[in-house]
Amino acid sequence: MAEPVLELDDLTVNFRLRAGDLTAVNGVSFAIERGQTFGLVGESGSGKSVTAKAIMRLIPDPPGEIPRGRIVFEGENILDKNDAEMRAMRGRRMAMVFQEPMSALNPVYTVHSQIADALRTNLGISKQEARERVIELLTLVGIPSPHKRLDSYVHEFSGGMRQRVMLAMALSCNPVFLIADEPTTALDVTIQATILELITRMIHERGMSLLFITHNLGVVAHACDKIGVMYASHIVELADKREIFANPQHPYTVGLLNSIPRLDTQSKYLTPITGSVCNMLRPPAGCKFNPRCSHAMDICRREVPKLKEIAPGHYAACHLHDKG
Amino acid sequence: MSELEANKLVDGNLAWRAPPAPTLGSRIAKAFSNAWYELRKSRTASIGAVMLVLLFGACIATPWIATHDPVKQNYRARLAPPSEKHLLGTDRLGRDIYSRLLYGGRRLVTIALVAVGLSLLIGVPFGVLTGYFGGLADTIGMRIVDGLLAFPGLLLYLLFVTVAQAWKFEGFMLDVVLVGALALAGMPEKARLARGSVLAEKQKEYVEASRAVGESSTRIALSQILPNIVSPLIVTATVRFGFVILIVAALSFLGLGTPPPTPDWGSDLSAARDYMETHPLIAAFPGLAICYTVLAFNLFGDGLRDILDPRIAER
Repeated sequence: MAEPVLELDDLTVNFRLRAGDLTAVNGVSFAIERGQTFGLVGESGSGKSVTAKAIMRLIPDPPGEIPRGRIVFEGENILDKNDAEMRAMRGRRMAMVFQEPMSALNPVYTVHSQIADALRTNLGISKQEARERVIELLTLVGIPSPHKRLDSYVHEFSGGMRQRVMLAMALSCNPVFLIADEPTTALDVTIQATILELITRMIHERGMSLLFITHNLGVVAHACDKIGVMYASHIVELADKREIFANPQHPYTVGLLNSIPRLDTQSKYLTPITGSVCNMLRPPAGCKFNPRCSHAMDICRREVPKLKEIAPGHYAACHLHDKG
Repeated sequence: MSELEANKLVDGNLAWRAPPAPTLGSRIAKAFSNAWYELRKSRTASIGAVMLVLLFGACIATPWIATHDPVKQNYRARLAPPSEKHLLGTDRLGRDIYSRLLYGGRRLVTIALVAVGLSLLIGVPFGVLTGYFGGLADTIGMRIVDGLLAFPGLLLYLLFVTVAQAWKFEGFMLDVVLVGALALAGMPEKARLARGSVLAEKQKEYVEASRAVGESSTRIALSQILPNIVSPLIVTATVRFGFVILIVAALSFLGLGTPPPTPDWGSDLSAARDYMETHPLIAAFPGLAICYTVLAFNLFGDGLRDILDPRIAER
């Protein structure tokens, strides 16, 4: 088994809000191996993005804090690093693609100056070198005639093109690890596939690892090797892609899969998961999914289930799998 | 194999070189043509811009277009009406009013420019940094600003100028003190405005994206956020010019500006009061000059606001 690039161990993120304390990420552990694509799936508010931001150490403190856990990146615990060390790491070793390409690029700078800025901050190369490198990057991410588009502003690009620019910016300093936080959510369906394909191709060509965050299982099926399903701050199921789709073990995963429209069956209606995500300020006791779960038992309302290995490489956090 | 070569292999056909970055000259030319295009959207702004161009033109060209020495007295031509020799006539000491207006305007506009420029230079970084870093820095910074705001502006100028005069500051030094007072009094407004805009702007995702590529906080605040909040600052600064000109003129009207014989619209206007009944034109010209200048700045500022912030413009 290859050595992991990133390993989360019992990561917990709290937010101290005026309305009370909120645990956005609760004891999340998983590992991403070199060259692997890990998909983190879950509904809005399940803690996916907070996990990503914690890895980049972009959680504002206050109100956020990380009381427990470790984030081991290339053998070093990120949480021990100071600001300057973190800055040196961001961009150069790990980078991020954001959900909204509209707002994640600065409207007052040209595309060239934004990417060149990142390049020059991180790699300290000359202006002319940076310029050539930017053109290469834009070519790489499939921007047509990049030498003409170079000095355009962000508003002169379409959504898909902006996301390509974001990707070029993230890849500019050759990071070994990329976080893509719902990179296709804000895009047209037709563009989504192209961008997705582009991201996975870039990752494979460069031997990078990817943490892919999405609420779209279809996207995950296309792009990822391994999948973690998150629900209300917990990882509820963790397995290889094939395992998750062929043999889902957590009722929430089953529910998610059932709510995808299928081409191969003739059903008129989808089967949604009943109810809605619990209020994270006052989460239910025990398993957070129990109010919506059709299999809920007594123990589910009392005890938080632990993530257990139920088959080789397949983990689930559900009392249904308790022995005996 | 370097990373650069790796990229070349990936795409195969990257034989051409990057085109040169646009030159500074072409960028300035483009900026001006864009600015003119935008200006034409608002009639107010265009009128203000034309008035300002005339004003600045006159200020720059003063040594060439003035017909007389502004301080040279001529007792044979006291209180002369406008004529070919004295375009706007002469004052009670026979000095050419036209030339005095030009030289006085030059001084006044320079003082206003430096004062507003200085207040921006102090106030904006102050507001941007306190707003961006928040917390204790913000609290302390804003209390300082509150303290300055609590002082009525005119009182602050009077205090500065009186003290300066008591210390026998003269000429240039007195102007420096005046500019300093004006800058200090104008600073809180800019700091507040900048801080408010930064608070809104720092929530945007591009700020987080800049952090994600490894930029430092100061750099993000000053080079990423600042350019995004300039439009309200430009508008306030422009309107503030008119206000500063009015204040400087008022101070010299009260005898707290530069002492005679230096040409000055305010003190000239004040001196002309005694001749209001017999020679009203002598008072009219400096008054009109002040009006014109303040109007030019205000029209331009208002127009700019309409252009830069379409949400406010009600059409």
